[in-house]
Amino acid sequence: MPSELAPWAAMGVIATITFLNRIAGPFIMSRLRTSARVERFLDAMSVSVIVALISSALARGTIREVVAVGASALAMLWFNNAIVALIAGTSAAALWLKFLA
Amino acid sequence: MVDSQGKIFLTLAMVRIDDSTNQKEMVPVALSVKGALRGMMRLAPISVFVVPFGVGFGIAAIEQGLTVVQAVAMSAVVFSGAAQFASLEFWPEPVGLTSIALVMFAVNARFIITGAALSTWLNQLPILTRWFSLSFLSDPNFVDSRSAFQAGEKDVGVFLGGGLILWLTWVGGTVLGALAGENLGDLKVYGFDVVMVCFFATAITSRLKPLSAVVPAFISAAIAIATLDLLPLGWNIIAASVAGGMWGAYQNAV
Repeated sequence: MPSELAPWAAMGVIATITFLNRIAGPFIMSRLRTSARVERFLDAMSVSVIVALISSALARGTIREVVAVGASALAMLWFNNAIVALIAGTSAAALWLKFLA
Repeated sequence: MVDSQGKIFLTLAMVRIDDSTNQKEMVPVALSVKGALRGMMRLAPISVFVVPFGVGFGIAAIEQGLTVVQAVAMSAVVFSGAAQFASLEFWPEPVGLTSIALVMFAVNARFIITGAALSTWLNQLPILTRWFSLSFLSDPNFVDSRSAFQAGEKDVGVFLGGGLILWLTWVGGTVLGALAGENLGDLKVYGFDVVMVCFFATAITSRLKPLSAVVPAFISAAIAIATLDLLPLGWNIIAASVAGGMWGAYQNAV
């Protein structure tokens, strides 16, 4: 393969595999009989995915990320507004880097 | 013996009841432009913060030897931060297509899980519309539309629109990063790098109110952290989500 084509071939593979991953979940579910148990599985799993994404980001990060996530969660509980919570989180991270890191 | 037969009978009865309730609760969904616009509005605030991530990818891609056109094309057709950053490891000589494919499958396998969690709604769409919408599946629009659907939303446009605005800002950010590069400075100073994890935290805060969600959340967090260094990139998320899901599926089963 000419070397100028290699990046495009790789990109084609990356895009195709990513697309197949995206359509796989609903495809698998369309072959399964849904029951209350499957519904409970999907419910608990959808919460778990988000928790897993947060936990591994925090485990890879520093105290700064923990402070930021804590600030957004508290702001969310207090004001019940996602934008306020995001501003609280990013400000906490920015301030932490400026003054404490 | 009698006991186990009784149990089997009960389980069968449960399945029958479940099926009838499922059919009753199966609300027909649609996909409209209006819904897509609503989805775009819902995720407009968060997608502003996707721009710096796109910039980061643009800069990294140029450093790894991609051309500006290749960097932007990759963001446009792949639209996955995790996959794209991971794929840069194969540059500047991306020739091992099989290993690229395997790594991409591993990194994006969580889409199988988030896609499955949206299947109740997405599978009611005709197949091409469903696949088109799923091309824009990402973590933020999964998180947002799954809670919207559970709150009674019937327009899959909310999911698609959320994905579209994230896609626009991701591609736009990549263009900026690929062209302007290092001149843009360090975005960590503004705390932009934590915005995605903060968004997930705000989304989960309200979902954890029912006590039944707390235990799977703890299980998931514990497994995600414990397996972070043991499993290949991204698979700790899968292990944690499946474990949390299994707990949810069987907690009420007596």
